[in-house]
Amino acid sequence: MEYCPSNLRNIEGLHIKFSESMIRQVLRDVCMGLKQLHKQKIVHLDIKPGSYFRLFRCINSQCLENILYSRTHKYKIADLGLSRIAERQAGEDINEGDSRYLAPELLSDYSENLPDLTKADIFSLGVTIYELMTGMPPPSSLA
Amino acid sequence: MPKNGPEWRAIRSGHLPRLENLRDYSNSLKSIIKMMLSPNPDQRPSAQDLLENSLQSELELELRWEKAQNLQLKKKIKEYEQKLRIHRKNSF
Repeated sequence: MEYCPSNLRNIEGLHIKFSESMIRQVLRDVCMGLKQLHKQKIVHLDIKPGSYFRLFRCINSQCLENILYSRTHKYKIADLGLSRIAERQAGEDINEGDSRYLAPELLSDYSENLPDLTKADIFSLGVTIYELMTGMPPPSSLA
Repeated sequence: MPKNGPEWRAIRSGHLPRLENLRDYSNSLKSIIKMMLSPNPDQRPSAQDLLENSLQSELELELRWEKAQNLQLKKKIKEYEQKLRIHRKNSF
């Protein structure tokens, strides 16, 4: 994988407001990655801002403040530490991901009707985008 | 299992008041996010659905429009060619 000096969390830290087109770019790039994963029946299960790495074609961390304005950048999914095959055994717990981004069906006991796990990634991406749009981190499950 | 806060639960039951109040984003983008956050996983779009229907860039939409135009023109050309052929046959 290419050198990625920054992730979405760092970019947020710069207090840059995500415009509609930037949001759409994040969505497009991450969906492209998810589509490839899901096609191979793999689910990520820990999609959140820190999981995207912005790809630099020019390797230059000095231009960090300008990265959002360059056309050559792409978002990439990283940190597949919790990813797994998209099949859930009845009664099995799979809620180790960050609870702020966790889909509701991963917390309930679906012993009869097993949900499509790929849709849990879509939910987490939705929460991530919600965070970028509202400018506030999503509520913690402990609050 | 941790106790879940009210806003955490609200997001997971499809209530997104903060999202709806945002002014800087289009309604179409907001409705995409709302769909992605459906409590029912079956109602959420897949990554492929999103790419094919909701997230096409303007350039892609333009390309699709041009391709459709192109197809129409090709059909027209074929029609005229056929008419011409019939016309030639009849005039001999």
